[in-house]
Amino acid sequence: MQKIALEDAEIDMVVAESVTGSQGQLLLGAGTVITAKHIRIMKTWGVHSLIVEGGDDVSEEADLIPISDELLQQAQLLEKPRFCRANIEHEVMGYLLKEKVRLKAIKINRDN
Amino acid sequence: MAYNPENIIKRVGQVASLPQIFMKVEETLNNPASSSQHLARIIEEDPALTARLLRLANSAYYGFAAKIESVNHAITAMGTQQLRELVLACSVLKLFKDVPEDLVNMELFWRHSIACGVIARTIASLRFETNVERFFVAGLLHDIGRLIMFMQLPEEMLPIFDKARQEKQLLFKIEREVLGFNHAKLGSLLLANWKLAPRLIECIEWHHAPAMAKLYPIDAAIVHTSDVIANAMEMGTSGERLVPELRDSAWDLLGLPVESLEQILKTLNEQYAHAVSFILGEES
Repeated sequence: MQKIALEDAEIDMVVAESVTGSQGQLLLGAGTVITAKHIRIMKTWGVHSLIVEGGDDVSEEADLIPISDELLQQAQLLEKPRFCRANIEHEVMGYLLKEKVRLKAIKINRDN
Repeated sequence: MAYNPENIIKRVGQVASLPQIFMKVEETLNNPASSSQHLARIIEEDPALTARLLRLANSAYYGFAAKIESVNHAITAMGTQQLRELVLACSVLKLFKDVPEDLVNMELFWRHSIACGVIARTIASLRFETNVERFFVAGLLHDIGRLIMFMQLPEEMLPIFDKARQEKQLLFKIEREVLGFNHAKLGSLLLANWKLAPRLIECIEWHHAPAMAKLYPIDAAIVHTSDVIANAMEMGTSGERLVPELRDSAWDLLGLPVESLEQILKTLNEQYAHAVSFILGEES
């Protein structure tokens, strides 16, 4: 998922989170495929940004994909050498390593 | 062979000086008689810069409610100091187009720098620091000394890379071992030569040893932590292959809970692409 400005919205993009107008009224539900008419509606109702499907590696979409222990282990083997000089016993570094391993596992999963 | 970082910067200073537009912006901001319209006119003299600033002002990086349609409007929305920082960021980038590609991939270099800048800006926001854009610039410029090394000491850098790889050691430590100084020192000397703010100079100089920053330790701690996070998440690289150690005292100084990392990575995800497009995007 990624947040985009309304002016960057394009036809055929998929709305990932429902879009509401400035008064809180529901304009588009999650899963809507955007059309030119939708863009006009959002402009009319003062929408400035919206969440659509797709995006970068470090993505919230990643939270939705189940990752097997085997993939996580594979990712851990690939990532750990880069952390050989980092103090991974520090809570912050432990968090970062874990997060990076998770993202690497998702990438391996996608590439397969 | 002894290397003198001051002499290296003197050599660089003759070829790499900050563009006229940044100097004019500085002059305008320092002149109490000048207005924001005057500042806008100076920026508008550079159409590429104007286009970039407006693109950024209208992106999710800022998330302003209304569309920003003029530089004058951008100045009102962002504030003159923040705009100054963005002009500085653009100005510096233009200076480093002749770095040997066999030593560094410039796109990856700037991606690492941009990630560091976005993280630094986010941490600063979480701490309610003023003028958070200066933290973006500090992150963007933190490894600039390494570009000077690539340009001025290309023959020395190859064995430094090899040694770091063989010993599985951090590059900045090998730089110091071989040359007697590291890229952080060299970068700070360049910024001092450009007469930039002491605050910026100090946090660049000590981004690998933030406890050494005497005047602005929090700024140094922010850039240090941001560099570690950008390296850990492997967002670009300035030549370093390993993740550096996070200094306990630096993290403690920030006063943030570990849970704030979730927010930091989320904001990075939201703003990184916009910042990359602003910095590396086509000048049109």
